[in-house]
Amino acid sequence: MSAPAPLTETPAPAPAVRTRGLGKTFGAGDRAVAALRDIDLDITRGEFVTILGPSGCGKTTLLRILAGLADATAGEVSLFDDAGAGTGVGQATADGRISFVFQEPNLMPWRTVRRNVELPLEVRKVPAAQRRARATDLLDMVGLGQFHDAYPRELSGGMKQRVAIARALSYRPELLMMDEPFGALDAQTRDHMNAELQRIWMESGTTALLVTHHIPEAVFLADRVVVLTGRPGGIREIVDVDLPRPRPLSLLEDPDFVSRVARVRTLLGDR
Amino acid sequence: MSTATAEPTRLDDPPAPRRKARRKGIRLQLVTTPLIVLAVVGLWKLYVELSGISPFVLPAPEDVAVAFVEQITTPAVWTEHIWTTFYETIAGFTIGIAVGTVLGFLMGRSPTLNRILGPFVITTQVVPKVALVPLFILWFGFGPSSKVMVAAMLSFFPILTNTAFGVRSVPAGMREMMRTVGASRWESFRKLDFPYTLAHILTAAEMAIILATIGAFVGEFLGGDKGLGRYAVNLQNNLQVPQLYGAIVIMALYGFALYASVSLVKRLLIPWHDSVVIQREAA
Repeated sequence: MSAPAPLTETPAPAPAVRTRGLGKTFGAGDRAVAALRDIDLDITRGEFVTILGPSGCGKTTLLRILAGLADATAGEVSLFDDAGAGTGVGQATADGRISFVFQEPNLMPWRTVRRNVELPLEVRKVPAAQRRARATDLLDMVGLGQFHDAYPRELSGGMKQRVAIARALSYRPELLMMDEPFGALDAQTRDHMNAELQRIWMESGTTALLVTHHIPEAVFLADRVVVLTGRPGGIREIVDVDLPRPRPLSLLEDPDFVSRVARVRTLLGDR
Repeated sequence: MSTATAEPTRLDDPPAPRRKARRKGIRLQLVTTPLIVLAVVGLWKLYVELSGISPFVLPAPEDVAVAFVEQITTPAVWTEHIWTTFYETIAGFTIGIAVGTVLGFLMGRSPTLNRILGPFVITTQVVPKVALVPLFILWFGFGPSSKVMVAAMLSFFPILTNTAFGVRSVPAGMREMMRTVGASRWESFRKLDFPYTLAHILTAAEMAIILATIGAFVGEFLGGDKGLGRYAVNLQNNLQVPQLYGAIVIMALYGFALYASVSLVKRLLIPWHDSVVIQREAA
């Protein structure tokens, strides 16, 4: 048991997301507007990938397609492609393997924080005692251990979004998708939430996919930054961010980090 | 952990000044309401004394007070009239809530059904309802049933429109959230649409209980032998004018009590809603 496992038995990195030739066109005929074209994207399990692009480039559309909230008009998506036959998005949703954090927290104002976190578990018919235990763990993890019985209106914007993240993690999804979850927060809270999100992601071991238009956020969080072109959005380049984790917030001033941000900024500006 | 330090702590209770303001508001009301009633009664008395107006047109307030006390201590007024009107109001209100919420949810969620049923629903409201009462009496008889139907017809409409509006106002993001966590349509209705719309339904219910009360009274005016509306008509026919005024006071108090009950239910069922929170903290 103590002997190191032979190298050959190390499993190949399993894909969480695989898209080929993915495209999306809104409308038809003369009025057709292409939003996305030819997206070939592979995301490995356990990775943190951020998607960055100019506004209106279709990055949110891409995420919505991967979450089953919109349909692609071209190409294909497969999730968790273990044995050459991946799962469709609908099946992955039904199986509770993916989850989504929206720009708005979308908390139910009539439910306490704890019961908001339990909601997906209620839908999945998890017994009450287990729901409660899971919510307690998650609220501790997102730093809201004191706020179980608070109502959403009693929380600040950042705290609400943490509840939304706890809710999204409640059923242990394998893939956590986030659509500009911190877009509405002030700069200071945003930095703080990025550090928190990194920690939560490392603790939960899930695959994370985050859409943003905030370059330092994209670089700070990502193992890889997918930079999209302007409309119709295609992949301009995928930038590796090989900085060690956990990354401290002081990294934001580190020359290594700053040079990567500058590089991504050039890629974005250079349409 | 130092995570929560950068953020404001929760507002556990309304801050002290606000709570003080709220208590002040209630105390103010306890003074102003009796004062205004007293002032009106005083002016009334003064007018009766100075103008020499016939007591058949405007009796003195003390005569009305005597009649009122006599009326509410007469068991028959309770068993015959108040009870009958209460039964009609509540039965009509209940039917109105049931029909209004079901149709409201259906029409709110389905544009097709909205187109199909819309014109007929509007028709029931634009036809002068008083004109329909004789028809209802023809169909449902002189007993309480015809009044129940009038009350139901008046009260279902605000429930329907508010339910439809409420269910259309459910934020798209919350619907999508329910989809991403794998909720079925039924679960999404039960856990999202219904609780969200409940605030709208209960607001409409405050209006509907008043309309149901009016419906019962109007139905009784036009036919039957029991109920507060019929009681008032009988008193008028007998020229028992102070008693007629007394009956109007009873009707007003009756309507007020029903409205207050529905309002209380609303505050108990949706304590989380902004409107209730504001009322609780400010009123």
